[in-house]
Amino acid sequence: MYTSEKSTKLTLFITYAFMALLAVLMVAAIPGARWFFGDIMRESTIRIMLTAFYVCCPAGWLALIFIMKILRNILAEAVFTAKTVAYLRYLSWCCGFVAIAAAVCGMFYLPLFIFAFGAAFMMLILRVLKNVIAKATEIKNENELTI
Amino acid sequence: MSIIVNLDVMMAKRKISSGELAAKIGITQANLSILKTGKAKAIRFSTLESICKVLDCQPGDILEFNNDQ
Repeated sequence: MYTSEKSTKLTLFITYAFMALLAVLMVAAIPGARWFFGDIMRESTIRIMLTAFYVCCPAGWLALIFIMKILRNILAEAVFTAKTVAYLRYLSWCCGFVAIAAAVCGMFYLPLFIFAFGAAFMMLILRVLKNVIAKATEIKNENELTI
Repeated sequence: MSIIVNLDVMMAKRKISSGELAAKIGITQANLSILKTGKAKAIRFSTLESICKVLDCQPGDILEFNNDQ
């Protein structure tokens, strides 16, 4: 039966799965890209794509770690806290970094601009979410101190 | 905050302990402590009413406005 806790645990499991996938991709990206795109793309284009991927990897790891921490906070029933707000802020910075990195690489391979736009839009959504959670935290603290 | 809570003064005047007051007005001692120490952000009318009933006083006896703070 569906419960909020089970849903959060499922999301946490998906986060771990993404971590595993990212680890595999980091190892297999170079031979994999050459095998998959070798016949349809030039070597220089593949290099640009791989550069963009490896530059974005640390931000991806950090983002997954922050998502994991937020989910653990939810499981510990500590959602509306300053820590959650901080994690969401860091997540938005990760997206911002990916957007900038993809935009720079997009100057050499135009389709990467699509990723840059996507990451920038995700950053915007996360910032709005962070502002909402920050306001909710403030209201919760005030409510808790109403006797 | 410029609102000062003089609950401890009224409690001393009525010779009532924190535990007894908390039990009579139906809040926890921890919340009463928050109220007494001025850490509370707001007070419900129902809580104020209960305090006034138990201590036999007016809201003005418990709350004071000080413009200097």
